[in-house]
Amino acid sequence: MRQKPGTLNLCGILCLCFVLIGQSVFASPGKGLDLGGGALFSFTSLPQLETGFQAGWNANVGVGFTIFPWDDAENRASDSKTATALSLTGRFQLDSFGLGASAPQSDGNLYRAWQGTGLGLLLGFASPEFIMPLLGLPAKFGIEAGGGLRLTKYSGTGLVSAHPAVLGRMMLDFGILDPFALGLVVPLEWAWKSGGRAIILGIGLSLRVL
Amino acid sequence: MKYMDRITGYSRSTGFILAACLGAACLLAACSLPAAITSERRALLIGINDYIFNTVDGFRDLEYPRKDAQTLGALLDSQGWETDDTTLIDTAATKAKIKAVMEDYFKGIPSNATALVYYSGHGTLDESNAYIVPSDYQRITPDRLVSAAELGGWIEEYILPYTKNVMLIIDACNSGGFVAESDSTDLIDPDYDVNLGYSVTTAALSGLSSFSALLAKNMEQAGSLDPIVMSAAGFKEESWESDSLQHGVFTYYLLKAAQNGDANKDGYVSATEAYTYAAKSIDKYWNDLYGNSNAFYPHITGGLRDLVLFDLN
Repeated sequence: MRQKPGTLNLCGILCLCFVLIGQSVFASPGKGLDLGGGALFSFTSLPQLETGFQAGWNANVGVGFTIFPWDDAENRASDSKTATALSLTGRFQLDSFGLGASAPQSDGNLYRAWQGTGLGLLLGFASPEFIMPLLGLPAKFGIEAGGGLRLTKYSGTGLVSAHPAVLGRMMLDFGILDPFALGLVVPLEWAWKSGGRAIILGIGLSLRVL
Repeated sequence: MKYMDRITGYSRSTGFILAACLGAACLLAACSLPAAITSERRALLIGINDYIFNTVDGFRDLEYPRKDAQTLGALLDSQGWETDDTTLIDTAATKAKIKAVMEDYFKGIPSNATALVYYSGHGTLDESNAYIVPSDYQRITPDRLVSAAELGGWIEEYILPYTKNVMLIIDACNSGGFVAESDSTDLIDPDYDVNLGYSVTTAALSGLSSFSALLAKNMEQAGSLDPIVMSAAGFKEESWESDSLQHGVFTYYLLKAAQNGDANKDGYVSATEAYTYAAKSIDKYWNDLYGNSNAFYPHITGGLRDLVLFDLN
């Protein structure tokens, strides 16, 4: 597929903005502007049906911020570059996602594919920086939980609906090249949808500007 | 040396991440294998070419509903459905007979079975209701029309006590009136405009404008398994039959969906997949050709649950 030169230029400009803004505006320990994506697995159920398994994808852009301690200097030991304190962090994220239909059950029931977009606000903790055993890279572990709202559409139809969700997120960031960190992310979601529920687990990567 | 350590670190971290992704892929493969459908599937197919009172005091005869019902019946039969595509054909499909056969045909069907009612024939509407037109309708006997509420009542009384796995497919004018509102909002206009079309962007913008209403609707849902209803056309639209296709246009593409509609290639065509294939084909091949005045767009009811329509295995 051919790309228009304009599209490539736009991508380049966005990436540059992403780096510059992320580096200068969010310069605090739990900070960061990140782009990520990965695979999702939903365990979907309705009260009278067996649980179905739906696989899909998600892509997200997030803004991380540190609630405490705000000043990066407070979080660093005087004689090293390694942060020593646990940080209280927050994150605002915009998600886009899609889940495929489940496999049919023996009675012919299955769960429809859906796709959607949503906003989420999460709070949590980030560990002090440490050196990842085996890998030898500076790393941080974080865990966050919060809530979100989703607007979804059943794929191939004109049917739209909206639902609330509880969101969770675990991440392990590896500092790969200052100011970038490559993160391994495990998103979690509990969604109340159409009188049923979807427990969504994922795994993905994120590129974060620290 | 430090540089080399870093490179080693990158390689290890990449390996670590790839291993995690591989694990996820294995989980995906293990959990997404479809089960063979072992439960009973029973279909009642109604097709009316021949209206008893014809144009004298009713609706004109049609060319293809009988063929629609019988072709779909033969296809389902070949895929393991138990079908009745002979009882409610043409003049035999009076209102009283349709009701009686529905009562009898699905009686005692197992709770894990799937029931399908298909209708091809005339449809009509008044200001707020849609109707299917049985073969014995006369203008002087409007009570012989079957309204959406009446047909829904028969399904509730004669099928739902036995099984919750019910599909209703209607290839008739104004059949969108049989597609009830659920937790989802159907953004396809009941009077589809080819020039405006339909897109995901439209859906997103419309959904955002009514977000709080959608959220409230979602929270009211109790997860009940309502029948999946598919209509050939919107509430305000006519659906067409075609001499070149030798079928009702909607049914033609529904039948084609059995060959080409398996979007996720799992060996099954669900009601939603069949709907999507038929709707997009109608929009592409019929609406584009015949323009806005003859345009129509199928509708489907919404919820998390879907049912297999065609089993390709």
